[in-house]
Amino acid sequence: MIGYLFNIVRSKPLSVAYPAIAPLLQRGSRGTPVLNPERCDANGACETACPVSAIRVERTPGAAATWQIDYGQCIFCGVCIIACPEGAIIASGAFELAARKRQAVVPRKTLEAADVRG
Amino acid sequence: MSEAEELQAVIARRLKRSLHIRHLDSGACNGCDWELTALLNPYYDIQRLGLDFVASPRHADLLLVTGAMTRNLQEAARLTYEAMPQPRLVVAVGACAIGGGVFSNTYAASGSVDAVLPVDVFIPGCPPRPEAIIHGLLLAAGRLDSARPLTG
Repeated sequence: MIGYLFNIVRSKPLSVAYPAIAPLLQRGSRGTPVLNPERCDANGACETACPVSAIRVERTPGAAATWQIDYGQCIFCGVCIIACPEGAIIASGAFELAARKRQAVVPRKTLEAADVRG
Repeated sequence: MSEAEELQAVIARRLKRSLHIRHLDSGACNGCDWELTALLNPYYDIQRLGLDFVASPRHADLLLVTGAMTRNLQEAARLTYEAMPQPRLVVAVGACAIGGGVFSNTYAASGSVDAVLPVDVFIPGCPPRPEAIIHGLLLAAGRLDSARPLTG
């Protein structure tokens, strides 16, 4: 009984100091899938694999290909990371994605490498 | 000054950076709702930040919408929004509320909360972790501390 009382007196607050201190990533937490444009060859495997059609790869003849992901649709399942044969998509662990504009959660990357043109 | 900036100024002046939140489930799978429940536990404890959940939209400054906004709840969502006093904010939480998520392109859902209500802040995630929701709420209240570089 007295031991319980001592424990209550000794225990410190549990609350995370979130906005002031960044939280630790939980084990298994992926965060956002992000593209490494240097490894990407725009083969579209991620676009086909995505269960919610959040990824769009556009190849236009004569211009650089673009890769776009909609974090407003993404369910962070990691299937695109597994599907990519080039290993170009990585889990970044980022989660602070809140934005005032819908378009701000749809990052787009241009693939400059010569072999992904048209 | 844009409309959004004006709203921020009004919020800072009248609400003193504190927000009362009304949660509206517009057809969620309960994933996001559980993360919202976690905000009130001793670990995340959003009351330390001056944020709290209230029982009626008439007492709320901010409407926190989760779910894919089903057809049956469109009217209820509109009435909830109209019952709120001004200035009022709408925050869409989760992939379903922002872009339909796994429920996009179905007959029963309207695709996004944006189609029915004017959304001020979008919080992506499936579900977003509690810290991500706190980040979004502080963004809505205009009190994000820029001293610490945010991840991602």
